[in-house]
Amino acid sequence: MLGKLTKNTFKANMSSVSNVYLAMGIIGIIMLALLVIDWTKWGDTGIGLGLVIKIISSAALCITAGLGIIMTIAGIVSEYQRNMFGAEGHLTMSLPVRSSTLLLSKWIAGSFWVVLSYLVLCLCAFGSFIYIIRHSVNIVQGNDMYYSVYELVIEMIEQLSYSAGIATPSMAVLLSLASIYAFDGAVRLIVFVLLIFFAITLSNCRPFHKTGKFGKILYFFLGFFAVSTFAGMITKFIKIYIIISETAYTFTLSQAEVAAAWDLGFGAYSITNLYCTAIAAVFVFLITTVLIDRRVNVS
Amino acid sequence: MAFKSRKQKYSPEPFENESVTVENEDVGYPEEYAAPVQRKSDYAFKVRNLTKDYDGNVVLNNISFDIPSGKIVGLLGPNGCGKTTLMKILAGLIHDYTGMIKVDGKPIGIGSKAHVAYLPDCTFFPERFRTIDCINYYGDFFQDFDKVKAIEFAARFGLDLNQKVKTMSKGMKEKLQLLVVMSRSADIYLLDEPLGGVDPAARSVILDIIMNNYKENATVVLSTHLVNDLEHSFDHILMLGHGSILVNTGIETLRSTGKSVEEIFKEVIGDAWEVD
Repeated sequence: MLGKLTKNTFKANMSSVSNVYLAMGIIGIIMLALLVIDWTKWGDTGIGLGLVIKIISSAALCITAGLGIIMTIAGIVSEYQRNMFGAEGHLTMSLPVRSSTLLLSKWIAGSFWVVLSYLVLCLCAFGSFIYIIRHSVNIVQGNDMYYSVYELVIEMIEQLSYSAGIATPSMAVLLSLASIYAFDGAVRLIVFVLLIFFAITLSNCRPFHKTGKFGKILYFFLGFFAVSTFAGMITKFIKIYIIISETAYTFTLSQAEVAAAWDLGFGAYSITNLYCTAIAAVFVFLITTVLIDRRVNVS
Repeated sequence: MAFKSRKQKYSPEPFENESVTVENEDVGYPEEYAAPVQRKSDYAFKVRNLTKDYDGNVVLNNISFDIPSGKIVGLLGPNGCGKTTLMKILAGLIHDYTGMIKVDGKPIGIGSKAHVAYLPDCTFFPERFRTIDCINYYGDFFQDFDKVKAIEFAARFGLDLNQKVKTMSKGMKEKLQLLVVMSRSADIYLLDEPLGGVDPAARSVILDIIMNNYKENATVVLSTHLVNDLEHSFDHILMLGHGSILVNTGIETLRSTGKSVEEIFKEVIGDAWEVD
């Protein structure tokens, strides 16, 4: 049942974002086509017409990707409201399925689309950065462009490490850190989607339904505040770090060990806030399920 | 704001001793090999002290009634008397009521929903769905759904399997919803105004579909204003008005008065709506 429900929600969400991804695909093709043009023939020596056009197209891509996130969230909100509590709710809520299964299916599909849109935005931003740098480097240094971009990134990391007063971590450690940051971001986005569902569900319960769209936004921020406060309070008392070396991950409660790790070129990351947010999400999920079971009406 | 628990709100008075019949008792082979016996309540619905209000406007006011199983029940009443609300509560779509309800001997939940085929008075399929998607959707979620029967109905109604819901007229959407609901072999059918938006010619076809396709011994609850068209089909009448049950009786009892259902409807509802 969960698989079938998720598949249906996935398709419903897809229909609301497909146009944005289509627009991004078209811009992407135009940007690839611009790579073929020999801009030196147009008098471009690195900073000229070609660069301006590439910056404009990159900005268009990034704006469309940003729009993609907004459209994705708007699509998820309207689909959840319509499918659970609107006219389609007459079908959805009469299915012989647990409300937790219904909510989970919406959560899985919604999280997928939100995380995807976020990844696409990151990819577009990073891709645009390389795309623009590549233009100038290509014209100035010819075929060594990929090596030069790599060198540029390494140099930026070294500068940042130097200004932070720590040893430059190795590429393996940097990749591990990047993965943990990405995982953290994904978890927070998933919780964000759940908070949206919680807010919509609460706004469909009596007497909260009277607050309308404003209420949905208010309940979302109230939920967000509650989760953040819970995670923040726990983090104040217990801080668990993960230390990342080239060969292993180790957990520690010691701040001294964390400082030492950075000095040795290792990475460190506090995971307390992350797991507290995840625990809070479980409670939000249970509360939302109870609301659907006991308080909500299909209108 | 603190929510009251559902237990607190329920009437402390329990249901009377419920009699149950046992189906498939004579299985014809040794008992240890028998399939699990299906126990079925004598009553399709048992409702006690049901109250529902919308922002203080009481729609159903402490009503209690039983509906026997295997009957075709006419749910009658004027506009705004709570027919749709009652249907929604029985189908499990409204939760913030007080009172106690059993559907086919079970509290409202997954167990009851699996046995109830509900037809609301609005379009409930997503607009992006095609006819075949709607049929497949029902097939995916209801074990008692007969896909072949649904496709046959679609052909009979002249519905293209690849036509999208958003391109359908109101009448076509109603036919589509009716065909999927009546393709189920459910124990209870809740049909909310199935004849509401269709022309008189289509009305008889729809009525024919309903009366010839529900599962044997199933209970059909049909809400309507068209008392005259349907009164010969009903076995049992439940009339609502002023938030109360005005009539809850078998059709024979009503007929013994020498009046038609429509006459009694006008009489009872007229009295209920009279202003002092």
